[in-house]
Amino acid sequence: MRRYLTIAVLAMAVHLAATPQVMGTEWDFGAKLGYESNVNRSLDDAQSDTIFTAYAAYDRSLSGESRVDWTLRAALSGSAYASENDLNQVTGTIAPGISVFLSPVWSLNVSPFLRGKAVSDSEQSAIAYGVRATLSQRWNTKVYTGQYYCYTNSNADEDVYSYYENAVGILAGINWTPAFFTEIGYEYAHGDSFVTTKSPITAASIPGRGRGYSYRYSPAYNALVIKETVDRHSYGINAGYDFTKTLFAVLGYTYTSESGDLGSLDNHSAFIGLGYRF
Amino acid sequence: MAHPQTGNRGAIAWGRVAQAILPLLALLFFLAPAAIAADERDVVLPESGIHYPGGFDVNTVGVIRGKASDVTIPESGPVCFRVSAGRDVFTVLASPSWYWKDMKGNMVDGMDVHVSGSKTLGKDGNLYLIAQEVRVLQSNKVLVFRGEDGSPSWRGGGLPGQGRGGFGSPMRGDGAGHGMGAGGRGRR
Repeated sequence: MRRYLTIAVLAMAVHLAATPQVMGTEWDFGAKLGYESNVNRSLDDAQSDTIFTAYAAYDRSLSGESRVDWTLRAALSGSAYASENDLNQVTGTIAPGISVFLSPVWSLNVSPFLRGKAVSDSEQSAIAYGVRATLSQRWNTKVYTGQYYCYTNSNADEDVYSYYENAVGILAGINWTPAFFTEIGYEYAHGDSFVTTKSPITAASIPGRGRGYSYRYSPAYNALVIKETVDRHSYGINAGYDFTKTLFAVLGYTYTSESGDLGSLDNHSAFIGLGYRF
Repeated sequence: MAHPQTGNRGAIAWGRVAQAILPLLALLFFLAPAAIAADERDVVLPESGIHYPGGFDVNTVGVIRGKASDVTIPESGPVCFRVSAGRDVFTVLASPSWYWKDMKGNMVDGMDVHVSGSKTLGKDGNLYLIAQEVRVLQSNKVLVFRGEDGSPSWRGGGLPGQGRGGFGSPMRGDGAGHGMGAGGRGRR
């Protein structure tokens, strides 16, 4: 099956490279090196890891020639973990959408999406669907802001990794120069999430049992995995630089904290990436 | 964290890959070219032969001053109006109609204006100016249609960072820009 997947990926790469680029459409290839401080989402035994990710994406962006227009984003990405090989994964996403220019400053995009994910630890492989609505404002050539809502329903091979989530976020960015920009963002999310623990938690000790909690032992994490409802807060910052019209680099950092009945955990993640669009 | 993965389990995992990814790949494979084929959005205006909206040339940018008249709002293509500047009459190409209306562009009709933009000679022998900025002299009101590099202002939808690795980009998210937590991968 690996061979078939490799062939499919290569075929798509050749296909993308051979397809002529026209105004309003964009291909994007990129790779990033990332770090996470709590890759196993542990309440009491956080493990850090380094992650290499590569992706190919297609984006039909807005021409602006009509007030209402359609969009399409599709992407294929793969991630390899330096230590936690069981988390290696391939993800494919397709997201058609519709955009409306509410005014020269305000625009709205609503986009349902379908995402398939295959993880080395097959219990975590999942198919997800949802919808994302983004309201954006370009106040002038330098300053822009955005707000979004995203609903996700992810169905994994094992229920403990399945989740639904409602997330809202805000962000703001400044184009300091035509080549250099920075962004800050905040996201609040409410929904299911799994956590891991080394503690000898039993069914009797799980709070609110009977309200949809599920748990199982995971060989991949070598720990008990428990699904519960959590609130998550994320704070992110990006800085990007365009070397040319096609080659760009970006640095990003996100701090995430989430809490539920079982406790709370946090995670620091950072990445540096290089991309090529045409 | 390492664990002995059996051959059967690995097969199940990659079977999941096939189920999840290959249909999406196939969809992208066939959908994207069709979308592109129907997506030639830089058109050649029939009378002038000017490429729109991509015909802006920063090397020919200049300013004209005169009285604006004859505003024409087509169903598709750029709104245009005439500016009599001394002995020359320019046809000014502005923006799509929705943008023109939102900018209250009709205010220019009959007014003295300064218009900056890219000058060009159409194949019909008339002078054209692809507008960057229109200043109505009586009210000092400025209508901006393009940036310094000639990029159309009506393309301002969406988040600029998402095409450059920022929030909303595949670089930041799960492949389609979703999620901000855990480096943009949300709950995994």
